[in-house]
Amino acid sequence: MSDWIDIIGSFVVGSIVVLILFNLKISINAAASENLYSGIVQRNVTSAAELLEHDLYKIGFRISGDKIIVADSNEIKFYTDINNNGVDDEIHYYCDKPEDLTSTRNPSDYLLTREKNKEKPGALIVVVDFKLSYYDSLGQKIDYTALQNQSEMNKIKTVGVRLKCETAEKIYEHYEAVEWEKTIKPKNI
Amino acid sequence: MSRFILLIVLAGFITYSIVSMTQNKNVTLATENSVNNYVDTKVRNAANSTVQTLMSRVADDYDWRVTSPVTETLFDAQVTYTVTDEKFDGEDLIKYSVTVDLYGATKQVTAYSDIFPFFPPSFRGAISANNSVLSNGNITIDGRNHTALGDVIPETGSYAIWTTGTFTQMGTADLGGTHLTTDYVPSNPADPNVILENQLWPGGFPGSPDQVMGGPTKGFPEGTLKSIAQSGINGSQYVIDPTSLSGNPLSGVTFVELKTAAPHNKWQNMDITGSGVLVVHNSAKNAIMKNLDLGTFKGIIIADDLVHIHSTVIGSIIILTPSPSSGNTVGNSDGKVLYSTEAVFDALTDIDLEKRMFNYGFGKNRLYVKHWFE
Repeated sequence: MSDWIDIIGSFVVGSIVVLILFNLKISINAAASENLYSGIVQRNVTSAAELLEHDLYKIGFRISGDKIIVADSNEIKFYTDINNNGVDDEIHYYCDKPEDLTSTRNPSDYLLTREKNKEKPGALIVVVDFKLSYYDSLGQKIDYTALQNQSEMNKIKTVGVRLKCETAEKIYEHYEAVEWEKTIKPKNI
Repeated sequence: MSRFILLIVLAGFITYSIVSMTQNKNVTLATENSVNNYVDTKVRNAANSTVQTLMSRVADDYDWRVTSPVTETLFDAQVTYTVTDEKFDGEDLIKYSVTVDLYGATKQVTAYSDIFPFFPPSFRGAISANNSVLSNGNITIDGRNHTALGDVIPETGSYAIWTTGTFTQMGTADLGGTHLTTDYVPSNPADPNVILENQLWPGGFPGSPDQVMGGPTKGFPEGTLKSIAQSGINGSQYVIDPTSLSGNPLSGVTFVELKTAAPHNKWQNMDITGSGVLVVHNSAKNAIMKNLDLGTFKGIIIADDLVHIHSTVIGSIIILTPSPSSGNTVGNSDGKVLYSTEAVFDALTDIDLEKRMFNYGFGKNRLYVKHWFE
């Protein structure tokens, strides 16, 4: 009789230990997956931020006329000598619509495209939010409707950038997200 | 059973170890991202701050240059820099090259500023004119740089004539100047390098004395020179009738606002002895300054219409009218125009005009930054 009690007791205790271990493994796997995908998204954001900073700090370099020619909430087009080679370049950042990006399951993501001198294909960044804001010399935000006018665009002294990226697939019922935000003050405008 | 549990526990530890290592790797990569971003930001800030520091040094001492690379520790980083004079996009500018090394990251920043902070941008040579210019008689127009006493300073001068129209050299008039640091002694015919014809002024030729000084962006909103002249500072005078001038020497800002209707729009046969900023102007831009017969003037002359220099001007002259009364005949006899940054500098600093052109304040430069590549 005591042998049976030992066997049943061992089975129960063993099962509990196994369940705990499985649960631990599932938790660790979930954390690892989130961490992994968060790292991937973070690296994407870092690369995108480096590209944006590289370009936006150079707005207007060696340009004598109008420097920013399109300034909207999710689009900017400007002139600069991006390579410092004496040739004016046109840099254009613009966003597609979320429904245009069908290769991912994330319904919110879309492509932020960076074109240099209208060359295609441009650099593509998958984002879920890309927002630009513009400020004058007094640090006052310039309204987007006013920025239809070239003279208003010439008042831009500072560009605010907000970038948010998410994973293409859901990780345990949510999309891993990383945000980057910076106010850039180009020295040539 | 106990073996089975042992195997399960062992497998669990192995899985945990692998997952833990992977997690650590991800955390390390994430940390690296943060650190790299921090270093990139810090190295950029250090590079930009070094350029600002170098500009500040130049603003304190205009002759300060560093032609051989110098390495210093600034802002916790190894900073290597040069400060040199360089022609960039057709302009003589000061170039600041900075390379910063910090924590294995390197950042290069190159910036350019105006070469002479006090020199108003509108003065492109000994004489800058908004129409064709003619020299006759024995006038000497020398765009080489001079001291305020009229001695030549080598290799730092400018053009004899800068005009939106053409230039005609007649009589025995001599013209000299400096082009790409080569000095040209006044001669007849003049070396083509000292004359710039058919020039375009971006945004249009300045239409008023204040625009000549740089306009609102450089501290000269419309009416500034007139109000300074009216203030009487350092002998400044404002008159609408030249006979009302208090006599020579002129000093400060002398603003003669002639009437627009002939013959009252003409001031002639004057003694220009003095220094400072001499303005002869009216709203129609047809104020005529004719026959500058006597004296030596050191500084800036801004005239709507200037005819016949028979005396000596050390500094720079700008002529605003597109319709000159005598075909812009700037000289028909003896006379000298000697380009001088020093005389211009003295004229401005005597009445603190240069301070209007400064960018004082946090985050601003005392020099005018033309280009900044980071």
